[in-house]
Amino acid sequence: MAEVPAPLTRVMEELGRLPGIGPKTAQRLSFYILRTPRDSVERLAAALVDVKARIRFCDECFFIAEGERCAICLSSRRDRAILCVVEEPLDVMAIERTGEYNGIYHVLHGALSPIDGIGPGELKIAELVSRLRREPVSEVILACDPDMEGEATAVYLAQQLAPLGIQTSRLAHGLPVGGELEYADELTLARAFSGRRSF
Amino acid sequence: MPTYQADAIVLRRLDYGEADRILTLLTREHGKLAAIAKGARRAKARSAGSLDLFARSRMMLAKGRNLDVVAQVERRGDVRHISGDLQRTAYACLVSEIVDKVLEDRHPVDEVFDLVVETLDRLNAVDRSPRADSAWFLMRILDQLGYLPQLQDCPGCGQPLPEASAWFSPLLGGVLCKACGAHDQAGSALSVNSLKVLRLMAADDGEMYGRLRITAELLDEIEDALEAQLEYHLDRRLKSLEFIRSLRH
Ligand SMILES: [Zn+2]
Ligand SMILES: [Zn+2]
Repeated sequence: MAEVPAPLTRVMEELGRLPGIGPKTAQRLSFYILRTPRDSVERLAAALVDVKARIRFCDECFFIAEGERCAICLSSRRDRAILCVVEEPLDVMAIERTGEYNGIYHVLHGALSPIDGIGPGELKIAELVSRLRREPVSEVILACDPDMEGEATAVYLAQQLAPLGIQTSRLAHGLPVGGELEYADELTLARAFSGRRSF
Repeated sequence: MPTYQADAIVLRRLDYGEADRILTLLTREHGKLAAIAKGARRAKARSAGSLDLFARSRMMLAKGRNLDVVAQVERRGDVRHISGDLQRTAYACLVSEIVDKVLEDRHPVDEVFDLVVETLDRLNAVDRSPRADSAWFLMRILDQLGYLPQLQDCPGCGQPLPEASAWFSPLLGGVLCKACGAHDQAGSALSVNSLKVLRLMAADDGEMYGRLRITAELLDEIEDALEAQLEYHLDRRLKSLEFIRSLRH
């Protein structure tokens, strides 16, 4: 069998590390790149380097940001008394698309997952608690995914936040159990927000 | 595509591609297997709840080129009370993690399937102690694996053990007499009552075990011994256990 040249193996390996990409897809993508004109491959490479150089996570809420603070934290039009906790940056985008929410966010960057060894220390939970001690937030909405890990995370957060005496609510069901927030349609998500119930 | 039916429990889930998930399933008919659930992450999908962690259902699977595909699900079990309860969720994760680690792919073991169903049902019952039920599961899975701890004779010197407080040694796989226990560094202390409960569990006396009111101190000792025994034989740390321990402290 002919050996795969090293540069090609390297591309396959790197692509294969991306989430949701198995070895077969990595192979297919690598050959696609080989067939693609040089300038568009260079654009892709430059875009990857650029996004890493210019986009980071907000120091305050851990959503994506171009500087220390994200556009939402910097905005003067957001209601800082209400804070919504989500698992992923994509969840912020999904909620923003509904146009129903005008508060601020906190992105945990994951959910508690005992099987994967993801405990409270792996998430931005300590940061959330210290933020709530500092800032004049009067309501926290826990918008974790409506699945097993999301529910566990919400319950854990509610326990951690209880001593702070801040009103805590959970998105209303109607969000199908076992699914992910990011994939909920806008109407369902908007309804879940307006029907939120306190913990 | 040829299809087949299976009673299945979701042990693990892994996001895949745009909106799919790869599930590790424990099935009665075909043992442990991986299958892909297309579109499972879209919250609209009606089947989402049936494909959540620990969910049990009657499934129709289609043979795929690499992974088999979940074609239909019909909900069977109920894990409503595990959801939203941190401790119950963590113990259910422990059950999943252990079963995933100890079973080989496509190698059905009826007793293990029944044990997992029974344990998840118990963890879902709000009036039961998830710690006691998970400890029972640990002893039964050790039994299945052939690693039942030695509780009658000291594995160090072979002498019969008196009914007294003792030392549990995962290295030697059982309870040591006073003389042998003094030389064993790794291990944990057992009170006489913990030893009695462990013997009852090893003898598979579920009825008696169910009637006991086991104090938290006893459960600490029993869990320490069984967890150490299992981790020693699996030769690896269980991630769910680390999580559970972090909840305890
Ligand atoms: Zn921000
Ligand atoms: Zn001895």
